[in-house]
Amino acid sequence: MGKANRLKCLADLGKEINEFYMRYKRAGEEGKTTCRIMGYPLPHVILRAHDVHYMFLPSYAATSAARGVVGRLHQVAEEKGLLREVCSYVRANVGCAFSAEAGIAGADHMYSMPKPDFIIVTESSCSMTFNWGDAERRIYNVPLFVVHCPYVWDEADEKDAVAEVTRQLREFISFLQDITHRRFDWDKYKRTMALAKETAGLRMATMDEACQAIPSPATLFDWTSLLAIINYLIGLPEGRDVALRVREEVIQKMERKEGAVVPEKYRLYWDGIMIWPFLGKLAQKCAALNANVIWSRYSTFSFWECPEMIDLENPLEGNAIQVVRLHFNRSIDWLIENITHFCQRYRIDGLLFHANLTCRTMAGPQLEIMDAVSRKLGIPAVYFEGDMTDETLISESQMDTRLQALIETIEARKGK
Amino acid sequence: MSNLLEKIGFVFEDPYKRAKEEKSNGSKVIGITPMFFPQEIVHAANCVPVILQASKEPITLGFSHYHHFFCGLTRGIVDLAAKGKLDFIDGLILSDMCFEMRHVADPLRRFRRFPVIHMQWPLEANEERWLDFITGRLGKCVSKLEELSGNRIGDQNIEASIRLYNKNRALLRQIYELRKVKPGILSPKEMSALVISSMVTPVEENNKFLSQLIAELERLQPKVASDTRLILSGHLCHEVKDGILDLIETMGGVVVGDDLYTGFRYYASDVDTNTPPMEAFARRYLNLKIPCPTRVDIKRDWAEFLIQSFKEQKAKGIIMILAKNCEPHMIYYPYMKARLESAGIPHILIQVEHEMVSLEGIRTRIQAFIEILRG
Repeated sequence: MGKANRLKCLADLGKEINEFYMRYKRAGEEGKTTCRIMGYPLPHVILRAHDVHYMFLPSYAATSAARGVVGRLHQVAEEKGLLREVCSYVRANVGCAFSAEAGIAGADHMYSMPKPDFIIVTESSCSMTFNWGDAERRIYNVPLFVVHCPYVWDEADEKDAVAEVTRQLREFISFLQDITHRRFDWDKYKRTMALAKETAGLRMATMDEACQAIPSPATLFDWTSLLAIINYLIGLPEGRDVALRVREEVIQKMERKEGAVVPEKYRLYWDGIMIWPFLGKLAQKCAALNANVIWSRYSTFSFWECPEMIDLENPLEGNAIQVVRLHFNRSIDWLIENITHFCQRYRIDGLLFHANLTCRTMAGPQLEIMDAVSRKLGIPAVYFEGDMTDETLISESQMDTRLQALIETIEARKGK
Repeated sequence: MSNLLEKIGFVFEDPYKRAKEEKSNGSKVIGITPMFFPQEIVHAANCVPVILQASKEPITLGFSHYHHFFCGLTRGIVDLAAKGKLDFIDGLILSDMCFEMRHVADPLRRFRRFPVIHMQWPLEANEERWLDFITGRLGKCVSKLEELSGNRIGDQNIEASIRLYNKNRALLRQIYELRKVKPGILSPKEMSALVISSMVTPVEENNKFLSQLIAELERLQPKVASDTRLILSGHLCHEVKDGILDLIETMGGVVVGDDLYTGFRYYASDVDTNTPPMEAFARRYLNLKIPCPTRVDIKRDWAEFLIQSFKEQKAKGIIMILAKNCEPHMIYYPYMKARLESAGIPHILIQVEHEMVSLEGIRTRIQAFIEILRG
């Protein structure tokens, strides 16, 4: 039975995240401008450069789930009339909005968050996110700004899409100036973007090297934890420093040929959002089967995935490119081609699909990807149903049996 | 009456029957996914536009391509395409109104059974800032449709098509008004069938039919004496499953208003003939007469619209019909519920699925609701 040997330097990230929420709460109490963001972490750097404190709602839900406190938020949302088929990130945040009314605000420090001054939705694919933003607008009765990224139906559409998002981001900056009664500091924005570019660049380069290494010194469960440097710390020196520490540890482990799973016998691709309440448990389950989940389109084709395209002389466009090139915004042909390419590059033995019952955006193309990539590479694939935060929608036994079946199939094929 | 309605009886069995006949007569048929994309543009390309309807078949092959936790409409389209039952269309305009519909493109593009043209709508309605976005994208669709059909789509053709479809919507509105003053002359299911026939039948033929029908309806007397006046709301982009609509009047209610897609939502507003066509289509979208919860609309409020309709129609209750897994509707519901409760409006939520609907369960709930309304 294998053992998990995850990156040690990520253990302190929890403290940084705690401090983030404390700062956000203090900002609300001190009357500083605060906002809620839905969708892609696109406006973070703009907001940071303008000293606006943000709460990124998908991360809020994921963090609440990882800390085991999301269940009561879901319950509050359901009492308000939200059905269980709704995105569980939405349910967590609606629960948060009504936590005081439900009398649970003091039960956990994650339950009580200040009312925002405005809401921004930046999204490329998940139309539900806009409905969510509109719902939050009605709850808080504050202005809402929408950045809607055009879909890249054909690769030729990319240039127009970047121009369109850049235009909308420029409108957003005007909106921001109007709402805060302050001028936007473009120099500060450039400096913040430079840090963002460096941080995101370190993340992508480290992941790529680690994913190629055999055994791989890290695992998807590390990479998903590392998303905190984008969602919480991007544009801050602290984020860059975490990325540097991760890089150092990864290089050291590679030099020692030390894997994240000991011994690493099977290398897997994961498709889907992480199951946040089960992150640690899942890492253990896979390690026990000597399986290292190497990579995922969720972590590799997302979260500021093309920092090399940021031109610091034209930072707004570089900002826009991050959402346009996001995997959610790509055609099925692009997804199949690129997932196949990276599965070959990272010597993947099997494909594991998390069919996320309340994230239909992620689940949408899954069955086509599963069929096509599996055929192209001649490797087995399985899927199991679950959810990113709602434990009541997760069947652990289904997860166990499917994972077991995948490993047995890989083993049988290797034996031939 | 019944003789005339028999002419559109096919919509219950095979809504694409007329389109297939047109195809066999040499016409090109272009499918359009709900909602929003103007049939006028396809008509102006000298093709037969057909708005795709909810499949009436059990989903089988589609399960291999689309997860079961998506809405019935999208899964049904994928299933029919996988079975080759949409092969009668020469192309499909995928009206990208939500991610569930967008991802229908994934299997369809891999099947390669027919070309797919993508039309993206901004998620925000009622905002001037999206005007160029929409006209630009409609313009691209026009070019692709010209290529596909081999016909040039000039402004004059489009204007002529707009006049025909405005006429169609006006006729449907006339029937809607007649039905309000003469409750029971058409059942909710029959009314829905009239709208569906407008979505799937050549417009010239449909206009003629509706005019004849109106002449007959005007001669009829009200058939329902019930004072339990109801409004139907929801089911945003496809018809309500067979049987549910008729249950309502069987149980003693009378439908006096609705905002269903296969209802008032489809024909509520016209395309302005005094504005250049692409801009007119964009403005129709940006100023939806019935606010749509699938859009961000900061200027108008669906709940407010429904409360006003309730008052104007002197209704006694609202039945909200939710297509299972329709996320925009589900997300809007808590707000709607709170607003209706604070306005003291009785309402009930009925969730409908593609696979199986327990009609008996729904019958009991509707019966109980109507009895409560009657006091």
